[in-house]
Amino acid sequence: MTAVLALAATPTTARRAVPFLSLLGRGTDVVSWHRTAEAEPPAAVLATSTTVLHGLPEVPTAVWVDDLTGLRRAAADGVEVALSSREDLVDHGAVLVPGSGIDVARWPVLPPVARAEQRRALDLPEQFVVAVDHREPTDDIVTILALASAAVVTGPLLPLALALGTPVVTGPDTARRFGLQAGVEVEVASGAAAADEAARSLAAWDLGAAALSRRGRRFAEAHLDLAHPAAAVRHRLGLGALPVLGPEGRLAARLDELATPADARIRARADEAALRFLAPHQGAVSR
Amino acid sequence: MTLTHPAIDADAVARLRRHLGRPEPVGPPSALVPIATPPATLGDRARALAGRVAAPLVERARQELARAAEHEQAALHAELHALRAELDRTRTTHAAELAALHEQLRDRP
Repeated sequence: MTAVLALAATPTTARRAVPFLSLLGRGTDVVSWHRTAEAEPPAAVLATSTTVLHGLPEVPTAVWVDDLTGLRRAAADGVEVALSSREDLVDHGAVLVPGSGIDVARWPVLPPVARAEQRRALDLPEQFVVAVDHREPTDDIVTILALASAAVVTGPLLPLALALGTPVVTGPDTARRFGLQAGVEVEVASGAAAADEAARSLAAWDLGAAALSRRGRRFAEAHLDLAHPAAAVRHRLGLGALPVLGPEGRLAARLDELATPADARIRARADEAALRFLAPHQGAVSR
Repeated sequence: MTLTHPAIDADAVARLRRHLGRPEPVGPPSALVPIATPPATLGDRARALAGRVAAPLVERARQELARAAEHEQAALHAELHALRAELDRTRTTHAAELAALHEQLRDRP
């Protein structure tokens, strides 16, 4: 029988749970707490605020907290695990869930060489530079980010661009907000004209683009991946390990078992191998 | 000879043999080659010669077809795995979206 994971939320905080719940609930039946009467009793609950803890069933519960007061209240209510996007609360026992986190494993990395191959195959320009400030990852935008030689990305799709290995130019504010270093994971430029110019230069600089692509992906894996907190929270809620999806997932799981560091070269090689050999018929945006 | 170890590539072996000046294998295992009886006529000899010449080519073509099918099958398996994984991701994401929507709307009349 499939375990039921219930979501308990206030109307204003429900949305923020979706990306994390999409990972946390894998292999379970995800339901609204107020609909659990129609399903099996929940095995665990994910609450988006301490204000909804009252009246929840006596099952392992994870709750989002925004400050130390919330963390103390969660502890007083006996919840198993507190979640927060604030790094300073980690020292007090909260599990860090990046506010802009994504499921990095869902997006196979496309290094510049693979992008160039795809562009040739698709009869696209040799150099393909774009600017993306969209808020939602539509199929078109994902495809563009996956095929671009370089992209100016200033909106909430920056984590996706990094996960895909897109060589990125962004603004100083965005870089600061994500903790990205200029010239290391991204290029930074102020103003649209300067950013466009920087992206064009980056597209023409193979080595620089390749280095940014690689380090951007590693940054996404290390700092923006929701899989790490999801795995930890599942364990503490008694939901077991995250189901491993697909051949790339199995490869990553074996590397995890071997305690392979997130920035190990073997992980990049495994990603490349998965891209090139395990799914050779997938398109540029294999999702 | 059948090469089954993943680290051994038949083409690489052939290149290595050429590099080392080793003669190419003359054909399939002897058990598969009919033992020719002495031809009685010129036509029979010509047919037997054609058969001997063609046998390695036919065998090579058969091997190439089998190898191509293996690659295709592996690719299809990989694609199937990827599609299943994506289906599972999508299912959970939809369930999460729906649960969030129910929580958002629960106090509405």
